Amino acid sequence: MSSVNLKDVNKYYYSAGQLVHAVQNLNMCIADGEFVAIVGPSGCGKSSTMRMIAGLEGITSGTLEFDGKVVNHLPASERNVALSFESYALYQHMTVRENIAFCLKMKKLKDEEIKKKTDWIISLLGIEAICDYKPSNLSGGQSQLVSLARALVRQPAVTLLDEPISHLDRGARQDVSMKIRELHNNLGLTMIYVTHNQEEAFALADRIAVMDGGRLLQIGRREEILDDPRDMFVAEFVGEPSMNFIHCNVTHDNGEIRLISKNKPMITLPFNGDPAVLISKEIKEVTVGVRPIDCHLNKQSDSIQLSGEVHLYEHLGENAIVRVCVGDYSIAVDIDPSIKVAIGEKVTLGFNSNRLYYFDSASGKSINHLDD
Amino acid sequence: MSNKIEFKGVHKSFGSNQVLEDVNFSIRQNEFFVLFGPSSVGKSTILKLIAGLEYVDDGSILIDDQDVTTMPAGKRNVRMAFENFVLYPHMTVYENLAGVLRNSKVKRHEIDRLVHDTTRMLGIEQYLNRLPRQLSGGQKQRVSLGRALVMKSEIYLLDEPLAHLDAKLRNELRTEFQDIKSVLGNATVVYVTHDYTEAMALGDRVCVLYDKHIAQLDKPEVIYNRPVNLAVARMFGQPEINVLRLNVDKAGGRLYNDSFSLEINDKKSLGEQIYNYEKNTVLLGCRPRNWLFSFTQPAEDGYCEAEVIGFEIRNFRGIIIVKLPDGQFLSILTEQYSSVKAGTKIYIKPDLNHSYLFDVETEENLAIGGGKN
Repeated sequence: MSSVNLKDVNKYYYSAGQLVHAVQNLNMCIADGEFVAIVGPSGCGKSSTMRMIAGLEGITSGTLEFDGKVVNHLPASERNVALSFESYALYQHMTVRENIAFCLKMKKLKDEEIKKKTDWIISLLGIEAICDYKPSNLSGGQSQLVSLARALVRQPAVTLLDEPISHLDRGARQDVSMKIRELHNNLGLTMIYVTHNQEEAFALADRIAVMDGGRLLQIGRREEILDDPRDMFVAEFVGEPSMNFIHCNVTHDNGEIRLISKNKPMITLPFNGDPAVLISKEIKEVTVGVRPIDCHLNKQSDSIQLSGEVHLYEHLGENAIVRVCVGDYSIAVDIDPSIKVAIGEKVTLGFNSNRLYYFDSASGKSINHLDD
Repeated sequence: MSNKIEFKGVHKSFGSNQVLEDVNFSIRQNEFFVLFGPSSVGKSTILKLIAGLEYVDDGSILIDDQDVTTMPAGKRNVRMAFENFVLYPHMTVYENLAGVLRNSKVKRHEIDRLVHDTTRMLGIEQYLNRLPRQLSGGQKQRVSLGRALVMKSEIYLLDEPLAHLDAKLRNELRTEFQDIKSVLGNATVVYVTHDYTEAMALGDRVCVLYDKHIAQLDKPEVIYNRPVNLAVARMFGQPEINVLRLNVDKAGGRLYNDSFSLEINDKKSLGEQIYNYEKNTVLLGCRPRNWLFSFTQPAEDGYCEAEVIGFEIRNFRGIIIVKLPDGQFLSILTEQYSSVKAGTKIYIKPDLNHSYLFDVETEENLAIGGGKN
């Protein structure tokens, strides 16, 4: 296993006569045995990053190190990186076992060695029953496991997974993701997982890297990303439905800072951060964010209470989403489905002031991270 | 409320592959009716039968109490939108919509009004002069939907209109669909999906198809809270319902296996179900959100010591993945999202007040009359 270190990595492409800066000054350090997910919308540079690590794309500038050694110049075949794609790319004319053994054969290992290793990975993934099947007889989930087995049988230094479960149906998805997790736990693999689906990233990885427009916006443990998003994009990207935002003007009232909403109704919100930051940076407008899960209906203990009308109610099984119209604002609330409200019902929407997030409206950056 | 569409004893096969077997149901006037089920279960086939794009092998279909079983598609007043809609790339949004109406010889000023009404409803009125390639994925999807909705009809058939969108966009559009739904209030909509959250959020009633038959047809909440069998319980809920295979000890008033020993004497409802049950083993289903757990050994009985093997975070809730001593995996939903380390010991037991019992052979819910054979 290896650590992976990207230093000031840039990637430019020529596309339709235009120079595209696909990855911009990327710095990322992935420790040995870590499980990191790279998420972002399409075109954010996550796949380019993965392909550069695998050696399928050149690096325009910057360095890529495995275990402290620069590998920029090494071709894909010499990097000992395993790749498992969304499309499994299995050899259709070979059985599952032959598919898995194939790359070992190419490495000219002895037959008994090949058998030993193949048996080991097959039992590890629990796919003994399908060993002699051809790929055309496998379900989507099974094909993905075989593709994974083939990638891992070489005991790679780094394993890259490109949307391995996003197109599987729900049952298979749960099964494959559990296997991936167990493998990671048992083998201590360094794994990098690329996906556009934040839900999958948060399901599996220890740390999450959020990218947008070729730039790394934030990397951190899952809780860090959720509790302390560095900017509005990250805050909005994680969680479903997205964070509610209220754009406010900053007012100074006898030395106390108050935030007053720009749209109707006039909502006055407290500012819990350091007032000196707002003053020194001359920030005139602040966007306040509150997560749907931190909003409640008709709860007395909430420090901020707004009256509104239910505009929409979605019962989703495990939870229910309510949209409440408060003047010009439509605020999403994520509540227990046992709480029933009718459309058109007048409700009190509340949240606690200690659950608010503050962003500089101009730059979109979190007030806590203006200097990052 | 009168019935708009009615299926009576419908059979349909494609070659030797039977898709529908003796299917009976009726869709009410102005209902938002969701057809839900796993892939290739015959959801789209039902839509095509209503539209007249396929014909039944046996049985009959009624629309407005009139037998349309053999009526050609063109004569049925039905509008259908397919899963992968097509837009003309060289035509603007306006032309893409207006073209549908021109083909049906609608008057010019009427076309203008209908196009504007539809695009306003879908929130794409400002893009009327754009070409499809100048639109985002979600906007294109709305235009495609507009092509189906622009012609006034009493019945709209929508085949997975949100399926090809990425997760974030799909959730957004699902929410917007609620608004569209209220505008379409005086039309009957049949909506096909394989996503249970869509089915639950949108459907007035949901028809769950499974293995050629209708497994359950009811209000979405009823299906979630009282699934008729294990297959339905599995389809509704994420993560999936956990199932334990337990031995029945009627005399001792308990259900047990190597990991659990659960007292059911005092649980009135489950106790009654077991009392009327003849077999020696039973399946207990308990949704991930209904488990009791602790990281220290509880004083109470019935908890099983297990190992945490993973921790997922999903929308600010945690999912603890647990491995039982016998190797079975379970998922447990918590309101906290601070990580639990793999390898941690956890003591768990299902909350029997929120559990279901299923017949070990038929997999029917004992509370709804399973286990009687």
